[in-house]
Amino acid sequence: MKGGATRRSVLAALLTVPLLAATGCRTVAGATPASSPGSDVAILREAIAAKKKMIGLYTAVLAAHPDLAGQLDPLLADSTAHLAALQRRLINPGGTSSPSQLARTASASPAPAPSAPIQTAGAAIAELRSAERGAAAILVNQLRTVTPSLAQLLASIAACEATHVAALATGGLQ
Amino acid sequence: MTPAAIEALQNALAAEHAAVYGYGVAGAHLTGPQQAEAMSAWNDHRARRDQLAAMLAAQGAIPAAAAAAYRLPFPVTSALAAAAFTAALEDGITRAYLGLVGLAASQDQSLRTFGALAMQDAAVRAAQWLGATVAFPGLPRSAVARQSPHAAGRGTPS
Repeated sequence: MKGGATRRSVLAALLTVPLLAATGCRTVAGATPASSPGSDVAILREAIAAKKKMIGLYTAVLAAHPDLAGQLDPLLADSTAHLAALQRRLINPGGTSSPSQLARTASASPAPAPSAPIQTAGAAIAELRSAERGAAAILVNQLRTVTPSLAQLLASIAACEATHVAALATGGLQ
Repeated sequence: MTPAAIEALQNALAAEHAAVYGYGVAGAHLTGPQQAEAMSAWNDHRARRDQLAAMLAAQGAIPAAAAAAYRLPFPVTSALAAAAFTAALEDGITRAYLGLVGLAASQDQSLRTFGALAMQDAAVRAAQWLGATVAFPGLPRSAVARQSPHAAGRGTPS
């Protein structure tokens, strides 16, 4: 245990201190001239539409296969959280959100629109898995040009979608 | 490459050094498939560490060295603690790569992509150790805490 606390402090810091870059999102974004707000809005709209579609897919699968609720409900909850975070940034770029307006928008959004009846639970899971993988890939492409804080939100959502791919694989996360 | 990019790469490298050390500690307390998983992750982190060091060296920067030893956040003396520890390690890795994603888009788009993909790998491993997903891997709670209650914190270790 020789060698000084400073040399041993890296791991502790790693585990406890969020990166500066990840905090104060709007302040950071507002101070960065790198990309245009127009690009952010366009990409946010696309991401919101894609996430609504994903939620619709989960909702349709759950309606057809209620027995999958144990596996899918947590993933749907993640997706709902993603949609809320994306909508909050779109509605509220300057920091004046109305919670009631937000709740109304969020609750109205998951419009289940199944394109075709899903046959088996296995096929439904496979479809969800493919959709999550595709969504993550699209976000990684979209985050290249947006403001830094939005890039971080999109990257985090994409990382969650990657965990969904794993959770929907055979054997799940165990 | 900007100084900010160099710093973000150094942070990621420091996190990978810590992960290589941490998996060595955790692996000693794991058996069977979990130990194999830890070994695989350890190899992945060593590869990332070497990749980051090479990226920094290519920019003329001196890659950060590993510390001689690291303080663990809690005693790792059982398989259960080892799994919790590795989940926390991967969460730290995810946060470190988030710094690369937060670089200015005008100069560092490829680093953003690199960071985002590395975040996915770490987030998947964290979820596997944790046995659950979290909605916003790598993001501090404060960045996503102001939304509806059902949206925040599910699965987050307390």
